[in-house]
Amino acid sequence: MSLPPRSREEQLEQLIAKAPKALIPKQDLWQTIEKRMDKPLHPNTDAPKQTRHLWPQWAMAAAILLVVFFGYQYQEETPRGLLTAQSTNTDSDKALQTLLTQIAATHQGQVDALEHSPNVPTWQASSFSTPVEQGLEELRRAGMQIYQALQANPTDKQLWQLWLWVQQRELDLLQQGQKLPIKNSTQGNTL
Amino acid sequence: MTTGILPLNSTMSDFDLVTLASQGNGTAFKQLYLNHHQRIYALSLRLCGQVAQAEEITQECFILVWQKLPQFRGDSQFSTWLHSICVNQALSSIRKQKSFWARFIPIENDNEPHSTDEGYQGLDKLILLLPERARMVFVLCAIEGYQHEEIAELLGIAVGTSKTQYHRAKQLLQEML
Repeated sequence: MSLPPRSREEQLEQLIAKAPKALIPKQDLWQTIEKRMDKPLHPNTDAPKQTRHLWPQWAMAAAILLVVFFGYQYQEETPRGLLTAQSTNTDSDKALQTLLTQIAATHQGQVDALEHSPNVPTWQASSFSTPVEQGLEELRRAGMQIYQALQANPTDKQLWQLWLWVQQRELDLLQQGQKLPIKNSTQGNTL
Repeated sequence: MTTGILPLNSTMSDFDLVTLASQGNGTAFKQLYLNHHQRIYALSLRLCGQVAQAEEITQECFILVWQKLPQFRGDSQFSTWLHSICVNQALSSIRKQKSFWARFIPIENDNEPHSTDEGYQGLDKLILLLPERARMVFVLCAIEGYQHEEIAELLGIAVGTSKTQYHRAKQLLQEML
């Protein structure tokens, strides 16, 4: 049997009025509280307040000091670093220029050896000698220009590659010229 | 923590117990706990609707009180101060749990009441069946005597919403009778 609305409202009011203010927990809650009480100490009400107010200021001051210090350090180190880098580069350039001179001397030695080899007939006697001579001349001129450019800028890898390639072509051309047929072949030439 | 052997008894006033407890006397604080924990547990259970969470809220509340005792200046009664701490702790705990589960269940069905039968009688048995928001508003308004303006501020809702939820809770409870 359902109660009329008025009766329900009254019943609810009665239940609210009778509702106990306290309820008993089903298990002992104190033990956990007691264990946790040991961990944090009573905070000192005055000191933390001061610390709380002061620490951002200290943090700001420390940050500014760090920025100034490292900024100054950076400014101090930059010219030194540049000078060091420059001196390192100079040393490196000198070493490369020495290497350049050595390679040029070696190459010249190889050229001389090929041109004055007593076992090989002189290729200038060949009818095709003129184009070879022109090619050699062009290669040597190019080689000289590259050599001068390398002395000015010894760290240029592309120039190095080009110079070595030119040198190799010169040697190849010299060897090819020596294999050319000889014009006006005389007994004296072959002897 | 100083437990100290003191002639403590339930007849000592809260003021005296608070004074001792704020000096680190654990026995005094335990007496405060014994005097008030059932009240705090009832409030917690009615607000959150779950026994396990209510127990946790009660414990957290008393730990917080222990930590904040030196700040208690006695401007209000200790029970009033404790009550306000408990309400805030309960609401905070409910929000935390809500946001945690919201990660897994995006849409929360507020209309779905807690299906629990923890052996409580009378109104408490019915309160636990109410939807969360309606239950919280009803408990704060009907049992704890808060004004709708206060409830609105505590829960972060409009005053009108508080009133609506209160009437909704009453209707639901009347239907349960």
